Amino acid sequence: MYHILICDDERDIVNALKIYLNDSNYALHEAYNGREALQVMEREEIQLVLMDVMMPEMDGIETMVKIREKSNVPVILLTAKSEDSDKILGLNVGADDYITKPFNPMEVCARVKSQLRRYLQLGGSSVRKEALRCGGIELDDKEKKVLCDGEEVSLTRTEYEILKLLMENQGQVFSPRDIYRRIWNDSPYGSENTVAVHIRHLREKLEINPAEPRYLKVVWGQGYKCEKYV
Amino acid sequence: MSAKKRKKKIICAVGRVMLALITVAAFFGMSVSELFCREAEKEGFYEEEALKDANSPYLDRIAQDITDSLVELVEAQSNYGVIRDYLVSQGVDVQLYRDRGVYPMWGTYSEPYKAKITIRAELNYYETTGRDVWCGFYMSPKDSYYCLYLMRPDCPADAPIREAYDSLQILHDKWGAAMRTATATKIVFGLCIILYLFLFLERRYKRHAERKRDRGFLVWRLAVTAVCVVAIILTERLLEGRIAYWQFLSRILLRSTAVSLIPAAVLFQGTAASRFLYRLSQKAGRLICGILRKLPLLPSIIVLYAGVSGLELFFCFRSKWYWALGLWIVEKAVVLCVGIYLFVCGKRFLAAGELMAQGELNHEVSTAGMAGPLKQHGKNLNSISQGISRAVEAKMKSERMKTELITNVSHDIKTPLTSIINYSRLIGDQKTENETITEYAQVLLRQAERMKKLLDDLIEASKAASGSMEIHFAPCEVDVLLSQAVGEYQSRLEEKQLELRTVQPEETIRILADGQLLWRVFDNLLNNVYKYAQDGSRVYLNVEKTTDSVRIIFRNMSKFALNISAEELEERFVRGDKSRHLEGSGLGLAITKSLVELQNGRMELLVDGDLFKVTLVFGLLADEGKNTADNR
Repeated sequence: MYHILICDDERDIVNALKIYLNDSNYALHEAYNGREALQVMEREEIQLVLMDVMMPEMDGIETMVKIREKSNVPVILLTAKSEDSDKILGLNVGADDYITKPFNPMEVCARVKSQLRRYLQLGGSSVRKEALRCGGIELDDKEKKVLCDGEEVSLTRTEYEILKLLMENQGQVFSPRDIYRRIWNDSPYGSENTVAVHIRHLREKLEINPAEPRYLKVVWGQGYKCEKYV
Repeated sequence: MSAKKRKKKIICAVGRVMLALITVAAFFGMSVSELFCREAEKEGFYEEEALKDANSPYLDRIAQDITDSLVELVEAQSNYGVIRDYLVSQGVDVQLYRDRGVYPMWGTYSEPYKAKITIRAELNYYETTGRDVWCGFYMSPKDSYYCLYLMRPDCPADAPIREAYDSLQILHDKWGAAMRTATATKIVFGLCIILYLFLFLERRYKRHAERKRDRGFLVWRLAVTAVCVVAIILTERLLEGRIAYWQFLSRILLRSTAVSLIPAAVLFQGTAASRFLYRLSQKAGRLICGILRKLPLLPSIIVLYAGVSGLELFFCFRSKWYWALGLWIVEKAVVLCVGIYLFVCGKRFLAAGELMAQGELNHEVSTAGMAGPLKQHGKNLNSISQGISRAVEAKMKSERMKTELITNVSHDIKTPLTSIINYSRLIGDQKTENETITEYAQVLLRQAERMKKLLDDLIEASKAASGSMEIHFAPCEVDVLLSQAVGEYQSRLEEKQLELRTVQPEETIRILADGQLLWRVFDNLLNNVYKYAQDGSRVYLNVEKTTDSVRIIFRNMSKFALNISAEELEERFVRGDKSRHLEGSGLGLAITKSLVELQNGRMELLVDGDLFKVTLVFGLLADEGKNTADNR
């Protein structure tokens, strides 16, 4: 039973979220501003917070800072602002994820699930040394297995190789040519598109929103990289 | 009527020709008479033989009488008063020439005037030394002044003064005749022209002035003429001292005639001759201006100024105006100081103006040390820059406010929109027997989603157009970006059986752009292709490299007839299909264009029947070799 706190000044949105997250595994708590959210958090043992940024009395960012003073519970921010600077601000003060309004219910559910798994797994199970990790993605080279937020993902051989290459060199940008040369051991004459297609598929399998990847980032005009997560 | 006009025209032409002829003749006559005078002067100087032949008994008698009397007076040790009285009684000017028994100085007007020395001083000398003196005088026929010579008795008979005296008599005679003739000629010609001008021309001037409805013209012209004549007379008077009245009169006539003729040129306006002269002077002027323009400003001014100064200096020495030399030095010093001051100020203004032209509006001209109009100019420049800065700031602010307003309103709309989308989806998910409800909920959801897309596009368009977007320029490989973009769209294009054909050069092409923004450009364009390309058709993507730029060309066949021009398509809220049934805001191409322009690129649209062609042009990265090395 996971305790989830939904905090938004719009009751309609809170209600809608409650309907979407209506799952026997979730215990839902609600709050309508930052202050109430903090009160609920003191009262209950919350495992995940879904919170709006723009709220009266105490806004999401301020509340976020207060929450982080006490716990490292995963927080997903909900906001109407989609500017990059707002996202960066939110992530910098300690948010784990970011959803822009109007949101897709599937996406909300997926992100909630993902955050919960990550939080509980990181807290509980021990990390295997052999496994490569990048945020919620775990690649076990011995078992040739890829886990995304704890769930096994089936990848083709090429996809697996590409992911392995990127995860072994986190933060490093590989051009499609480099990737082709390393994976296919061939000169990439006229077949760079192949790499791009494979990576697109990889993102579709691993990312909740392939257009806004968290881990497998596209460096436009240069190549691809796997974001380095601490 | 026309015959009358023609007659009038002929009379006018004849009048002009006459005037021209008279003018030429007058000047010719004057020049000839002047030349004649000069020749006579020359002859008097150099032709000794001719001098000896001539004689004037009358003048000789007077001169002899006066000389004899003077000698007597001097020998009788008379004082200055007695001698002066005697000379005055004989009609001799008491302004005496000082020359101690040497050749008399003559020919220049100023000398006797300068050497105004009383006879007393001279006599005193002889008185104190107790020596006897010889006396002589001459009368200059040209300027009609008299000169007294005092000679020592031991002056030999063949002394130059004796010779000079003799030659003077002859010269006077010859000169007198020549001068009389020349002066008479001058007076006659001058009177003729003046008469002509004042009787005939003045009437025409008047008519001309009336026709031009400018009565002031006549007054002005007369005033200018009068001022010029007076100025000339005064100058001559100052320079030349005493001049015989008839000589004086002839000169006045000559000068005033010349001055009167200057405005007479007005009468020749519009004639062939004046046009020719005008064109000639225009061409000459253009030639000179062209040469001057090619020279740099400062050196040419220095050269010109040095030339004029040198000329002045030359004339100072030439005319032996040593007093003018001092004036010259003072003038040059003042002009130099003023020049340097103006140059320094001008340089400051120039630098400030250049900076302002380059858009650096915060620059302020320092008006320290400036005065008067210069200071005012500096202040004006500063206020201009401040004004422009203010205007630019206001514009920026309004643009920012506009963007902010759009962004804020959009955000505010998004919150209720979230609920609309969510609840319409929830209605749609409800299990109900009534299919109409499900259907209506789907319509609601679809339209709400479209509204969301519109809002996003609106924010992006306003941000891109107002330039409040952060741009991170970095070297981008065109082929990499292209393959990435195509990779993203591959599966979606396959959905519609669109065959993508890419043609690009083998070499790596780099441009300086913001990868993220460039992806948005490609995203928009490929999205357009996905939405509007005819299913099952081919889509061409070409990359062409020129010497300094790269052209990325998207070509596809449109699904709908594009009954709209390329210019219109670039406008905001315009779509190829006027029915507006498809999703999309109509902002896509406008956003794309703004994004391309933000990255210093260019977007060209071409609609040719069903062919839709977009060309992106970006400048190549200059130091390509260096970056390739870095990337290795």
